[in-house]
Amino acid sequence: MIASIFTLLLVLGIPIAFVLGISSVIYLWKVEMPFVLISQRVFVGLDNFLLLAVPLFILAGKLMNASGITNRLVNFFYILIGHIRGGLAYVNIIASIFFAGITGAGAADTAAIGSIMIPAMKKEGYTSEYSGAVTAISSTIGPTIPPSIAMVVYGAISEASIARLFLAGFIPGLLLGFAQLVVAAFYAKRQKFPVRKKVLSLRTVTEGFFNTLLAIVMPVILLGGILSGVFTPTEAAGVAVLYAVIVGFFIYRELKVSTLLSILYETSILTGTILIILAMAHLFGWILAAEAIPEIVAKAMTSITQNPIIILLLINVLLLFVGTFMETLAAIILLTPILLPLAQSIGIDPIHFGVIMVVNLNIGLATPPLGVCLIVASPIAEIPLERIALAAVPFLIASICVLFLISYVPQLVMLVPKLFMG
Amino acid sequence: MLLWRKIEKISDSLERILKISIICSLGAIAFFVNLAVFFRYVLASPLTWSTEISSYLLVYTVLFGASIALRHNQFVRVEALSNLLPSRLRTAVAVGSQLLIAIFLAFCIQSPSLLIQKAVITKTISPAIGIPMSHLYRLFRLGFAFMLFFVCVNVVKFILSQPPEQKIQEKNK
Repeated sequence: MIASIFTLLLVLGIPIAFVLGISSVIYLWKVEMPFVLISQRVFVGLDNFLLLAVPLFILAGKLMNASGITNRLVNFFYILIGHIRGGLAYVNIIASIFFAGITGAGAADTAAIGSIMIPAMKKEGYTSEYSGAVTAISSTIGPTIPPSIAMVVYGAISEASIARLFLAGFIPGLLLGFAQLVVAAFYAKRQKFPVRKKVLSLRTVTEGFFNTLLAIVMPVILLGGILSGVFTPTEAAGVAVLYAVIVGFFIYRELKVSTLLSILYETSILTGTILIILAMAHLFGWILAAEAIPEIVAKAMTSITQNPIIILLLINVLLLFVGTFMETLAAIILLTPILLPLAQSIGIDPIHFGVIMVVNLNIGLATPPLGVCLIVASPIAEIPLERIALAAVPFLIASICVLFLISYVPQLVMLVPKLFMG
Repeated sequence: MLLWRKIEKISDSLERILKISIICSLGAIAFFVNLAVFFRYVLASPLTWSTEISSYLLVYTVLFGASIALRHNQFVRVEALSNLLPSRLRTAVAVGSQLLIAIFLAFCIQSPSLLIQKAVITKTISPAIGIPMSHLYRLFRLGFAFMLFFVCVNVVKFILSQPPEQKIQEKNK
């Protein structure tokens, strides 16, 4: 019954946080449990030091963007590789990979890099569709490469080590970037994209490098700090905020107090909308456990097949489907408690599964109807979302190939965490 | 309409207060987290209270931030299917869902009563900063109360913004 109510409320367009809350209240009423459980579970769900990393990483990303780091990053890669055939598409993808080291959110990447790259690409003769598609799809790399907000949320739910998750995202993130570069290279050759005839001088490259250095060293400081035990992932997020404030106010001098205040406000609202889902999911999770839903789902799946390869395929297909219409973090919050026990029952490591989930659901950022990166790219490229989505299909196929590669070759995911953390 | 204008004014003032609270709260979280790193690694004297206060501040940032988000309909939802409904049914569903949310929020407001009572009787305080837990639960309740207020205002606003049937028919003619 609860499943039917849950689905009905979800389909009716009620906010996901309240779908979880209302379904839970109906269940509590049905089994005659005290309603005090609502506040107990919701309060405990939010009172978690790990979750502080979510607003702090969002804040750091927004501050970096306002500090002018993104412009410098894009500019440096433009100087470096903008002159080769199809170079602007490569700049777009490589800048996204580096931007991912600053913020773990896909839509922020599309907005920041897209607003610079899409007009530049259009100006140099690329189609609006292609410019929008490259921007949207390259933004899906962001949440895989550390730091990643999606991985913090997954870690908080699954109790998997966030430092390990961050490290595990490295190779899959780079593979995604490489696959997209291959598609971009193929397009550049086939479409005979323009070549910028400008000779590079060593001085321009050196200047560009030093301008970008502060952005490039940031992920090194964060990950280095986490791995050396100087700070926890949450503290790393706090340090990232401090770093962004210092760079913005005192080095680049592009950040203003009024901008800082509005960024703090925007971040708090965003945090409210994301973490209220997690708080309600904490209440709903109690019901899932009481009703043994994860076990029922696992049993149902294994009754269809006991072949781990097919089960993993089914999980991936389900996640790809959910990712098309549900916000990534909401989907992670909802599905981790159900799918993780199933994945573990077929021998998948929680860290490996976390990376599969994050990569998979992030592909949904560039697929209609709820592809947030498409939604953000569409007005910048000044064309309808569907046309960008269509142009993104070859890139999506490349990303899905990488997804299946990392799903079936766990070493690609587990190598870096094993190397650094044993 | 005068009453409605007053309600709007109260909503705006409340939003402003919440806005200042969440800005200060998030700023304080970032400050305390960095302070903890500084005390532990530079002064070699770890702070015991920074984790606790930051976590509590997060609870209120989320609840107060969510209240403002609710006023502006910024919550995450799956709209793909509900958008396919005919406009009249969609309106009914929208009002119905807001009412359902209001009922749920009323449960959330009532829910901590027992926790507050127990905390008052046993004089429970938070482990590091020593704040009475009853105060923390009251603030928690307040967060849901703000959400309920904005949902009710949204319902009234939605109903008032719907043109009467007669007007639609006249327009169609």
